[in-house]
Amino acid sequence: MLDHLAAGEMSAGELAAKFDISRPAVVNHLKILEKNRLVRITRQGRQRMHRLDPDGLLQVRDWLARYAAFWDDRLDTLKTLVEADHQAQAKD
Amino acid sequence: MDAIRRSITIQAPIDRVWAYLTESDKIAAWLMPNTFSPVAGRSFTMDCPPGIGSGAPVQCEVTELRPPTRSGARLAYTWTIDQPPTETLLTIDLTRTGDATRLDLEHSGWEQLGPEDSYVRDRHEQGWDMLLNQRLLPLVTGESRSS
Repeated sequence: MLDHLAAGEMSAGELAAKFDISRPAVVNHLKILEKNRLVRITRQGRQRMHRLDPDGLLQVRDWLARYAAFWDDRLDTLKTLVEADHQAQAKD
Repeated sequence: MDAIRRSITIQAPIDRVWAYLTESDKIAAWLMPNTFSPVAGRSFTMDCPPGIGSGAPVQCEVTELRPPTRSGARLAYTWTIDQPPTETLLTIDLTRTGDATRLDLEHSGWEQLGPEDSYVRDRHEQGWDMLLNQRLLPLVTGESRSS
């Protein structure tokens, strides 16, 4: 669904036409995506239009990227500590 | 969904590496201040440093504790973050490689990131999985390295 919205904003009806699921199911899913700040919903006349929320998507990406970098950093520290500890022990 | 995976080789015996994974003060030396105790099923917290997650303590629970045997060792615990609400799983495997120890870390469970509604896991909702799997995750784990 997010993939379709990447092409531009759409109404729930337009999106539902692209899936093998009911329109209410699509609307429900869009509400969840909005709640999680991945989709922005704006009202245009009688229609609700949906588009990607770049802030939310970037936040998720940043968050994962931070964890990936975090583990690199911590594992380097672990390796240094354990090896130093082992060498000190070996000398005794 | 793919996990974050990292592998390193440490020039030390497996027992020494295991100590750094399962003794609270040693864990604090490389990871975070914590209340870890090496008992399966035991809950503990990790004090998250700034820049990771929301900064609130990470809630954890030991799910697997297999001290070193001839074949290796494994430690796994849940890693629950409040913002965004996500329970991930950290699994660390140790393998003897001659005089050294190979450490494989896997941080999995990212599929729960985002909508917590079970609806998302419906098989029709492959779009979400696809986006995170094929678009988002490669962006952040593309620089995966083994050393």
